Amino acid sequence: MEKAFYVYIFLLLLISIAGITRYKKLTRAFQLLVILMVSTLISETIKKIVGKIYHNSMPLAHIWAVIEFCFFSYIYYNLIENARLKKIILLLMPAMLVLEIINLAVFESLMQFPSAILNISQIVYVIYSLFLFSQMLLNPSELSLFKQSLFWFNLNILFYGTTMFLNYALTSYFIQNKLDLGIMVGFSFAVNYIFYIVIGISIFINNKQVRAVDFNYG
Amino acid sequence: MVKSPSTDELYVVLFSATAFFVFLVGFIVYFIVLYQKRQIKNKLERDALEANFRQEFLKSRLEIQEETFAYVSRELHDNINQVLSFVKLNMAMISTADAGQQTKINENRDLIAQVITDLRDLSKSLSFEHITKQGLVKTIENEVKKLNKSGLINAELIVSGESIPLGEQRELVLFRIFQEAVNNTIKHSGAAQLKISLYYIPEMFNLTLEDDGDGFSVNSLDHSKGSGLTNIENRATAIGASAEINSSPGAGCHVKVTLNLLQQIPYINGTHPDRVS
Repeated sequence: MEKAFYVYIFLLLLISIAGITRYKKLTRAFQLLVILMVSTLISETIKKIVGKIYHNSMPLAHIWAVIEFCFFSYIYYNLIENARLKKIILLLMPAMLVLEIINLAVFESLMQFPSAILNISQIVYVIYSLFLFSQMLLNPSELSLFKQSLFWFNLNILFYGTTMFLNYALTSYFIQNKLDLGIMVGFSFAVNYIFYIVIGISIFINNKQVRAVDFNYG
Repeated sequence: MVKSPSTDELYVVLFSATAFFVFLVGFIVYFIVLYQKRQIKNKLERDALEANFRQEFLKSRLEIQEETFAYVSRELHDNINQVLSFVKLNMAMISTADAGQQTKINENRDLIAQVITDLRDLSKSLSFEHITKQGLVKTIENEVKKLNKSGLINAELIVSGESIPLGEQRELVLFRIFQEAVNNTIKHSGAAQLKISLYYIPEMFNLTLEDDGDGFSVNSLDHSKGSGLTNIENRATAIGASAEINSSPGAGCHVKVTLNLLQQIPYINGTHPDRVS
């Protein structure tokens, strides 16, 4: 398991380096994505250290869950053009903070895994991605879909959001039935690897200069 | 007490997970197909808009050109010709000249008379009103007569079928095409013979100009430089006709403009929105 974690950290490191190198060439949303990747790398490293020292890094996971949600929301805020949706996205950020406080007070303590917040986040990400897909359909770019960083990023979010939701559901089933969780942990790592590799690809192909040709997206 | 899962339960879990991934993949494939369809539709719409813009631009150019021709024609007729007539009259009134000078004056008066006639012809060929009043066949006939009279080339006109009016604007553009083609022949071909044919077939009209000049390689023409042949093609496009130019070195040049009359009825009636005003 340790090995899988270090592979994950190494992947994050590579994406962060690639992102920082290409930072100036990226669109605003993808610049934010790079900042999120660097922050994720730092957060995961700190969580690992804290976990080793205090044997529980869940307080950090609670804080990070809200920060990550805000980051993704702000990325979508930059990508979505509909003014009403933009307002809703802005409102969802403080709403998630309030939800986390309620969650801490009523459902999951600071020492427990923040599954409720993460599940809600995944659902919201899926909704974001569906809205963005519909926006893409309304304003199709001339550029091939497979060369669009936005397509890969959004597809990735849809895949990650739905798959992680399935992962949580199956994990819960496995725990209830006292089945071996190894498969689910492996599945979770695999989904994370795919997620970060595709994020890396989207950062790599994103280019704000393409906007001159492309109507809406980089 | 924890209940261990039955095989059926595991199958349900497995089936649900598979169904989930199939649905996800299905959605992605559907999105890709739909997006590509939209891309194609958008591209077609954009192409149509561009073509429409090009057509409008071409028509505007032709209209501006026609206005300029009309202005020049009026100036030639109303101003320059009048002045020249006045000069000719003044010269006739000179009575103090001796015999030698009188001969010179008479020669100059003849030359001025010739210039007045030439300018009047030029004014007529530029005038929109004159061309529309006379009709295409009659105007071309006059031009052919002038060409033969000038001795620059031996021109022959053949009119087949019963001539029908093609609409003022169409006939004007066709006449400009004719002028452009004749100009090219005289300037560049070195031809001795020019055959002009007007074919009126029930559903089709053809204007053909054939010369026996030096010819040229059609592929070697630089269309971007706005040659006379490009002008012919552009004018034909503006009235919904097609121009075909065939030539090869030593084999003369053949220009054929085809109008599909069935497609042109709205143009002729003047009800088509794209008609040249």
